[in-house]
Amino acid sequence: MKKYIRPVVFAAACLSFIIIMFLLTKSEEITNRPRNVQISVILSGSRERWRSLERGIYQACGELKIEKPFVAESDELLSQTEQLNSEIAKGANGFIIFPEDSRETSEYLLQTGLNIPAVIIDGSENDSLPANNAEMAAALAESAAESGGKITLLTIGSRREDLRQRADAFSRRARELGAELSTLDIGFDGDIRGEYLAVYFSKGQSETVVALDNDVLEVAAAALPGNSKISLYGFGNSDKVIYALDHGRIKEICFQNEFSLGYSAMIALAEKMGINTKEVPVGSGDSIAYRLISRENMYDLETERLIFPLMP
Amino acid sequence: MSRIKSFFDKTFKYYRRKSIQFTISLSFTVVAVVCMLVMGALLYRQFADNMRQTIINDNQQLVSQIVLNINNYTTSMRGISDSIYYNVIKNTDLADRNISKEMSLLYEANKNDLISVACFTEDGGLVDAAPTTTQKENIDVRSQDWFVRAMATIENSHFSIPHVQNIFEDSNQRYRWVISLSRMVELTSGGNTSIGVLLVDMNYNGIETIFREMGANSSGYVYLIDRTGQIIYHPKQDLIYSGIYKENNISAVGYSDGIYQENFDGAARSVIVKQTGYTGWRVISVVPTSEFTMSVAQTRILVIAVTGFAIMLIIIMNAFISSRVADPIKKLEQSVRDLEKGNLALNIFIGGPYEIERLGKAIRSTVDRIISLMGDIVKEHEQKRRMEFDALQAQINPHFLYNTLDSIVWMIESERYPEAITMVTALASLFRISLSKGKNIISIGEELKHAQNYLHIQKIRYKNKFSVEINADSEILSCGTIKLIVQPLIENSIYHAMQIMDGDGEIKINGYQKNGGVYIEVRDNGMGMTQEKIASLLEDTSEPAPVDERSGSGIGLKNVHQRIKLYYGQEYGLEIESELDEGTTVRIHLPYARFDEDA
Repeated sequence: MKKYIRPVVFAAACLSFIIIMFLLTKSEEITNRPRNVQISVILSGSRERWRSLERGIYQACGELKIEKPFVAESDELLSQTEQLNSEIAKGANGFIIFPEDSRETSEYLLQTGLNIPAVIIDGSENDSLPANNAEMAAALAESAAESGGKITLLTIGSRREDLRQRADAFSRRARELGAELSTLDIGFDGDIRGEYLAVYFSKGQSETVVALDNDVLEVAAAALPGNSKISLYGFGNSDKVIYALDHGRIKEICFQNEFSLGYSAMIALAEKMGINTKEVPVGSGDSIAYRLISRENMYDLETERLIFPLMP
Repeated sequence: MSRIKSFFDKTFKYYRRKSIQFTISLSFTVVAVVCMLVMGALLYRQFADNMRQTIINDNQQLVSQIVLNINNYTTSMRGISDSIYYNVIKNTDLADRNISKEMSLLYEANKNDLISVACFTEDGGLVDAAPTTTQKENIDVRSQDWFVRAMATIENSHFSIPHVQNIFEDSNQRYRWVISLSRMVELTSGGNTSIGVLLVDMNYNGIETIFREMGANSSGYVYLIDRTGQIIYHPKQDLIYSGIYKENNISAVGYSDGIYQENFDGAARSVIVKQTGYTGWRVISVVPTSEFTMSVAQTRILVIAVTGFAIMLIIIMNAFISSRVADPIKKLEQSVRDLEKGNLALNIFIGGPYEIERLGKAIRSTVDRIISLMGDIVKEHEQKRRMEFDALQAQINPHFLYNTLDSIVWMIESERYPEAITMVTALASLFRISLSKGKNIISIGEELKHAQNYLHIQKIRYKNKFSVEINADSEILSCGTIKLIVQPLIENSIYHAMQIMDGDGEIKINGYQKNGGVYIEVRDNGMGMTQEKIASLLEDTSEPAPVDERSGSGIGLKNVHQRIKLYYGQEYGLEIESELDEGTTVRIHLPYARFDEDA
């Protein structure tokens, strides 16, 4: 018996180890419980503005069977890096970030040395999602150029990479089309920004005004006089922007499918975190879809399905 | 084929060479594991089939329940529409009064399910609406789908697919998803009738809630399409609208009520279809095959885990049991192995199960017997060696030799040279036969010749106190015998019978064959002896017969008797017949066997 005790015990131990490992690896399958991840989404601006994106993220979480992330909007008292630091301290092990300052955010994440998986959506090289800012801006430039007259491009001096890309692409394409283009820097405080634009619009110095950011477009639409002949174009997704479009204050918007953006961002983060995404629908892998939407086509079936949240 | 046979031959050969413990353990384990795996597989398959059927049944029930709820919901909406039309619009002349109050009442009663109710003239003008609100500028309802369909088919209620209501301003700047129920109505104004469209915009959340609540715990998912395959509700509707997810909704239009197996987008799935009543919508439950797999995954893992643990337990138990069975056998086998090496002093293992214990006892008994027999053999060899030594010693018995040589000297001194020569010759012949080139077996002829030489010498020494007669059948002369068996008998006769004779002594030696045996008798006519004396002469004692040097050669009857028995067996030996005052006959009984000089 002694001769066989050791091999038998060894075999039994090996078998036990294999079974335990098997059960551990399959425990999620057995219990069907959400994976233990703690993800934080740090937005630039208010959550209200990012509702579609948030829904996309939640949808992806549902598909991945993971906990819904904590979503932090811009905080007046904390910078984004401070928000990041706070979330790391709370135990966040994955981030989706819409940076206010692309470089600062990237550098900060590197400085932490924690190697925390993060998806930074800013259209930069660090962005793991297919960026089409230049393409969208060029398309918008073509529409704006068609309306004729002088085009004023509203800029806010942002350090966001996506805005820089949009501005460059828009300017390039507008000039290619022979449009008269000028820029108006409104990179000061939001409250003053509206008043400043109201005055600017009242002077009638430009026939076409373009905002490259949703917030700026909202302010511009609000500042536009009711009887103004100015055609307002811009990038936007928010309810305010859609409402302004519906009521003719905005001529045309370039709408990026933010539901899809949020969903894809979450899937990309899950892949970085080593979560299995094989069973999850991931679409075609093309860049995030966008659409030029005017008052005339906003209620087309395909368009309204994109711009109006189905399940608020 | 031959390779397979060779493989099996090698396997079985290898298997046969292994220890009994290994064989038992491996055999039991293989049988048990195979049985467990087969049972596990069968149970798993049975369970998986049951699970699949249960899921299908559950989903069928779910679909039926959802259809029932949707029918109730749409019937309720049509009831509202009918109420407005038949109880309000039909009974009202719009030139006399508006219908806003009645519409508002109905709206308020059902506002959880409704977004708005409105009535339009055939040219798109708003007759009335509830809740009271403002119609959007530049909106021409005539171009909207619900209006077109209502105008196209009279007397039917039409349910649209979900869309964003684009008629009224919302004070909260909200955009509401609705399903529009529209119908053509007859309007009366100033006694004149015209047609219009009654619109009931159902809150899409009503449909969504039915599916969300009922489909929450189902396997797979459930979705809703209209007659043309347009999706009304789908749990992944946003994904579908964004082009991330695809659904087989267009093909599903062709399905009537029932269960279908389909392959879509590379995935096999079961589809349960049931149509709703008035609307013609189809509720479709989809259970991907992978979902079945997921559903039975827990069972599979449980079966694998239980089977794994059982196999582990079996291996340990088999090792333990086989050890319990095989250990005594192995110990016994070790004892036998030691025995094979010649270690007879070992302690044979006795223990384990009854059969093994019995076997051990039997082996121990056998070993004891072997030891005893070997002792006997050793003793016999020792005895033989000693008796042969005695026999050899007898050849050179100093007394005999001295007396004989003394007689020869005396003959020479008496110048009886021929007799001296004869005696010397007889003595030489006596020793030659005694030695026999070291052989122990000689022919009876030589043995008798040896006896004759001996008698010849003794007759001279005893001055012919007795006469000698030797007769032997010629056929026995060539038979074999151990040497020096006749001489001691003659010697006895001479010393015990002939010494007291005075010339009339007789010694007769007869050799003959009888009943397959050879007999040599030495008969004298001496004074004989008692039966007690006879018995004591051949009494079997463990000690070899003592050599009486005073009596001739010193080799006694007992020595001869024992030597014959040792060489030829217990049935052979000496027989003594004696009568007081008559004489004694000592009969040697030998086996009839031809003497082979080379053997």
